[in-house]
Amino acid sequence: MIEVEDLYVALGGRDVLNGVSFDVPAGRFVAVVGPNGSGKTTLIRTLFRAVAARSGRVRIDGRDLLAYERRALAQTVAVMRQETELEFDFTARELVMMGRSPYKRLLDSDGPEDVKIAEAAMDETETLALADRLFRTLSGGEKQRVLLARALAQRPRVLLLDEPTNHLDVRHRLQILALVRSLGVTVLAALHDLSLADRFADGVVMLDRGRVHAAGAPAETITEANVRAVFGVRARRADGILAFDLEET
Amino acid sequence: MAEANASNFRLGGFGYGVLLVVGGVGLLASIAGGLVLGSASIGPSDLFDVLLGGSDAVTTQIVVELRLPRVLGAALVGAALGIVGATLQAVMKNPLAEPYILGISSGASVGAASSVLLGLALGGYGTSALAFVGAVVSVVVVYRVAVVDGRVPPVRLILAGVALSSFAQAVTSFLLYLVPEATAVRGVIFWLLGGLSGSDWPGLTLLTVIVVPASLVLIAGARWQTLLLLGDDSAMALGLDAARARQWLIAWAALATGALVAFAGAIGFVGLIVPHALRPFTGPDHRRLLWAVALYGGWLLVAMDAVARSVLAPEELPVGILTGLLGAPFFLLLLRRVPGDAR
Repeated sequence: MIEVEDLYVALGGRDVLNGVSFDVPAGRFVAVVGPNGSGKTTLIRTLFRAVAARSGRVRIDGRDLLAYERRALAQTVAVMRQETELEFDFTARELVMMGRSPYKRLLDSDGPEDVKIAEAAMDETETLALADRLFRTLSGGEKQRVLLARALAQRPRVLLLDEPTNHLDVRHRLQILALVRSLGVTVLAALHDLSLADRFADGVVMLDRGRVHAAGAPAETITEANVRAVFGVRARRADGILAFDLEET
Repeated sequence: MAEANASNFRLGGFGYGVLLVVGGVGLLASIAGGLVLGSASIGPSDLFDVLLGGSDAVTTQIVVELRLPRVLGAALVGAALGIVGATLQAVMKNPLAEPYILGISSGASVGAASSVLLGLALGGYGTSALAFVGAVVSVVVVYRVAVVDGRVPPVRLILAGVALSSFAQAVTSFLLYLVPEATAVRGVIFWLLGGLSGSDWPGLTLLTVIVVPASLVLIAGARWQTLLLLGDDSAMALGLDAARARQWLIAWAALATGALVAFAGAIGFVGLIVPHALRPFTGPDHRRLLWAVALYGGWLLVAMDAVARSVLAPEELPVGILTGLLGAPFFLLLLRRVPGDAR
């Protein structure tokens, strides 16, 4: 569903991604892991064309990313990222309704069908009760769920997640990833938390300074050797549970 | 639910309809009031006579040639200032944006005043064109200076606007100093503060031809504006080419500002006050906000101009002084409310 081939991206003259290649098969959940600055967020942003690649190629559903008209792309690919910059008072419902924008020409207005889809998305993320609250007044977990509802209102086949679990307590982390998994859409998620990647992902892409260090099934990627090389910490697996420790010096 | 809900004022579909009707009636009433008000005493009944063609020549002359273009001009300028202000707030993603505060109006003044200096007024067309150029240059400069990683931090935006505005006003003053004729044409205060005393039919026609289409284009772009409010990445994720939408909206906003300044000088703060006062009721969605802003902006400026004409009668105050008196404290209040962590 997502094919990334030899992707190079530079930001402000600095190379951020240096020849990244991997595939995400349809319906699978793939996690992108890596330390801060390894290029996770830039990778996600490249995939919805917020930044342009210097070279390389991305195909979504067999079609070149650059061949998509923007609205058509947003009908296929939805993004959930942290909304830290909202300075205007939207209600949760207003935000989720904006998820219908990809289906609207400039002068189209929202119809009853759009309201139904938005409410179904809020139902799925258990945010209907928050519909008329101001986004600003919601807790971190509620905000994430509202933003997920907006992404779902796009009726996408691909979901890109950028650190969807930041600022969430442990219960909400598990909840939101379980929910995303249950949707049956293709997911690519940048995750900080290796344990969560290990637990929820079908596949893992481990980035190190803009290169793919390892890719494959979680148990084959999140190994002691890889984690030491990329993160500089010691990983141990006991009874299928990951534990991390600082290297002893 | 009993919990504190800050969206309490948000109007539903019916309430929004009422808001628009009230705004429309208020606008019409203020226009009628503006026609009656003035040193020559003309009552509401005379107004009907003029309307029906049964009035004497002098009354008709005063109403049709002097008051009507002024009142209609005030309505149009107020409406467009509101729309342009709201648009800039979306484009800059910043609740404090406004053509006057950002120095765009002052930049347009430089263009307008220099059209007189260069002998390029061309019956108002040259003035509007150069005012447009001034507006575009200013908005590009302010945006370029203030933007950091695609965000426009409020404080940077205000500082850039203040600096540019001071510079542009100094240039305008310098031009007026060089060319006494410019002063003779409109008066120094006009160029620096704005006023509606020079309104006439040819000017109003030119204003209408530019500002009405520009305003409609901005209203048509309301969905884009709402998407831009969400931030560029979110807007792009929702299918908008954010950079192109921004350029398009800025160009039309600058065009409108140029025409407004050529007609009425740099009138401040209307574009700030009106969207802010209405947002709690309409919500930040510009598809709802802009129509309301147009009606209430027109109403506000017609009413303020009526006050400006009568408060020191028979002398009249440029309406820009009044909007400044009202708007600047309002702006300071808002500035306090903008969260400090908005960088």
